[in-house]
Amino acid sequence: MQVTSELVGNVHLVTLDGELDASNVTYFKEMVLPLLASPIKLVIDLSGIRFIDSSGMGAMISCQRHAAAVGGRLKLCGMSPEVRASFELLRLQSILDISNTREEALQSFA
Amino acid sequence: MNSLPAVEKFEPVAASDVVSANPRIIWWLKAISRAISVLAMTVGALVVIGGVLDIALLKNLLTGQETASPNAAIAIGLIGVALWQLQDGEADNAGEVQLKPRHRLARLCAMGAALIGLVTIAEYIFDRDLGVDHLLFAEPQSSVGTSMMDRMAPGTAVSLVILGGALLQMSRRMEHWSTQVLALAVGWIAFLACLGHLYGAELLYGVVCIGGDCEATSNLPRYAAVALPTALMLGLLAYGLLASRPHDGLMKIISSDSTGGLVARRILPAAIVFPTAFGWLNVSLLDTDFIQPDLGAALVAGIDVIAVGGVLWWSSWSLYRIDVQRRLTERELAQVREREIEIGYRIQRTLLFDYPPHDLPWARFAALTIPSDRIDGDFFDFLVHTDRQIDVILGDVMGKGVPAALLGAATKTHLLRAFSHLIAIGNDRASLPEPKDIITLANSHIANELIALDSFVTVCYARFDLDRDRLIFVDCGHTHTIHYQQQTGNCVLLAGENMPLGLDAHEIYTQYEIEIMPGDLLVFYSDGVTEARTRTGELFGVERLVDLVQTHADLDPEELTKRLRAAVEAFSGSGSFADDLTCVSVKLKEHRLPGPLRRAEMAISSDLKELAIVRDFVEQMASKGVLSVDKVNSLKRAVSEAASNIIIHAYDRRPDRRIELDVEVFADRVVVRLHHLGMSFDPQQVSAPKFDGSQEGGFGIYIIAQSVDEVRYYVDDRGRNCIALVKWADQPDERRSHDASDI
Repeated sequence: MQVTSELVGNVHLVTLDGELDASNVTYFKEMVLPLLASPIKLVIDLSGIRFIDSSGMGAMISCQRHAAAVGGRLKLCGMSPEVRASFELLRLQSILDISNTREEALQSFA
Repeated sequence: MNSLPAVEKFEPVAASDVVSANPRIIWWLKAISRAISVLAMTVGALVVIGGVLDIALLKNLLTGQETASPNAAIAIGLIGVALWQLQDGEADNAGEVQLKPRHRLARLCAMGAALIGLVTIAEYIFDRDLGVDHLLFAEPQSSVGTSMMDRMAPGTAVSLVILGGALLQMSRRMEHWSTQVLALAVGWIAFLACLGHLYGAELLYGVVCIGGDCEATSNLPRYAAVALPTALMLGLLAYGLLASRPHDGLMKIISSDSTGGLVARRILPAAIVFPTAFGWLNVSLLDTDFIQPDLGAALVAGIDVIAVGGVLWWSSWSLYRIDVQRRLTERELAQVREREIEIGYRIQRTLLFDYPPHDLPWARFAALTIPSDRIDGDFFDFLVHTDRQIDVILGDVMGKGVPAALLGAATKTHLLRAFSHLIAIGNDRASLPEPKDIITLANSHIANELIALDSFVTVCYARFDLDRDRLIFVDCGHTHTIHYQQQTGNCVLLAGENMPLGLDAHEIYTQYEIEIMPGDLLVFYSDGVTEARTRTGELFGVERLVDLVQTHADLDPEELTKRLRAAVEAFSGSGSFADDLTCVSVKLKEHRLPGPLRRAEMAISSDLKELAIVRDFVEQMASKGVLSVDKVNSLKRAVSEAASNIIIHAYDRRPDRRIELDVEVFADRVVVRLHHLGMSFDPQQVSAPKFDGSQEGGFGIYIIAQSVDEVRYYVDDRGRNCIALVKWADQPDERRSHDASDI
């Protein structure tokens, strides 16, 4: 799995590519959680993610809690139907801010 | 096989095996007895010497009077000699003493003393002077001739006769209780005489004036008094007699190291001393003018209560402490035993129990066993030879508890040993040894040992042969297996005619064959089921069991077993039973169903990096036509979570372990099994996840349950923990017609 991070205006954009599971979730957290130490606007683009398991989704919850703790904001976007099904299994659509596309997510922060 | 001698029965334990004499007390008692006999001999000798040499001090040693007859002293001396000679009397088995010279001497002395007493009594009775009173010292001391006053007192004479008799008896039968009763009688007479002297009650020591006023009728018969030294000497001799046999009769308790001995040693002296002392105090107070007599009596009684109460409390306190100690020890012993049973129970549950196979396509198994007291004397075993041949063995050892459990384990071992032996010597290694041969061989190995142990084992050995649709069984005196036939809807009891294992080493066992069909149900059980009782003693019985099986024959065996347990518990009104209770049910299924279209296995190391490989493997196998893309994704998700759980929880993140997977693709479903040797986990223990964002982990079990149609956690027949996942091609409600899943 690849994690790339860039700044679009005042919004941080993290793009994931590959499969997020228990084997690389620690790597993901190490890359993303430091960003959330300050109150930023963060978009995580999951369009490159083919599979996410429960630990991957747990990491998303963790990101959400870190952002909320310092007054930052988090949006997820670009989920494939399969990934979306996983999130809905855990009813995460109700506690995570999920946009359909990256553009939609960036626009809503603008 | 060498046979040990038969197990010895316990001898009943005698009191003397658990309570022994206190050696220190024994030593003291014997020493005192010897000292008393020496004292008596010395006194006798001194008086005789005094008489011969006419030394008044010595002559009157015992009486304190000028006019004493030396007879009493001589008799006392003789008794002292007899007592000395009879110390350490060793009796033979019959209790009769072998006569030795010193015993003869003792008899002679005892007879002499008794004779002196008897003659004196005769003198009193016939009122004649037979001359014994001055036998030794011819010259009468009294100027008025022999008077009554020179004779020994009647009490002394009686005591001498009794003592002499007691010693005679002792010289004949060393340990007879009668000597001690006689000694007690003398002790009591002497004690009363002493009390008489102490309290000034003349009647008690024997000065009797016959005919009223002594002063007025001085020529009327007057009996001499038992002098205080004589009384003391007689009392001591009585005590010496008792103390010379500290092991026997009444003294057994006093010398014993039991609590009874302790109490006796404390209270008996008090029982003698206190009444004496307080009686004396009472009498003395009466003589003084300080206190009013009634007030004095009240005060003495008050002090008496304190003293007696104190001694009793002291003794009770000792008893209390001893009792507490004893109870603590008992509790400790009980705890040790409890711990052993607990360990035995764990060993049995973890190492000795076999688990029924879960992954055979043609049958479902369920097993239940409830030991009556944790350790189980029932056993069962499943031998999976091929996926179409399996042996089910169910046994019941006579008795229960630890010996029965060990015998059960031994029987299992011998059955397996017989099995492997028969395979090794068989010509055709491809075919299995016959059940009857296995049983016959195992029985010949263990029968003699079981006979020596007074035990036996009933066994039902059943082989399911799916290639021929046959059940081959050997019934060794076991309960009759219930065979529910789906075709007729009836239950048949399968009975053989063989004896239990352990009755005859030469028994040749026979086997029976019956036809079995898909849908049939076989229920093996121990008599703990049918012999469960109500409180009023009514048996559960075979009929009730058959009815139950017939009614619930369509249920899954697991469920049937639960119902059976509930029924027996409801019937007996309790969750625990008098006997071990065991039941194994086997439900046959259609085994000619089409097998899997494809099957593949793979093994991974327990490294999280392998998860992606597992998902690819499942996707590859499952996605060719049978399941929709969504269903493949769901299955993949479940398998990934299961593998992840195994690595993280069962293997505690150790990356060097193995996980074995197999995937079977059927026309209508895909089955994935994950096998591991890590810690098993119970999905029931996992709490339901919270979806409010407060929880970041612990969703795995939930995801698995939501993503596939069936999940089963079990231990497979190779002892591996297994998670089996089934994803059906149809929606769940569309496959009602299917039998239960083929995991």
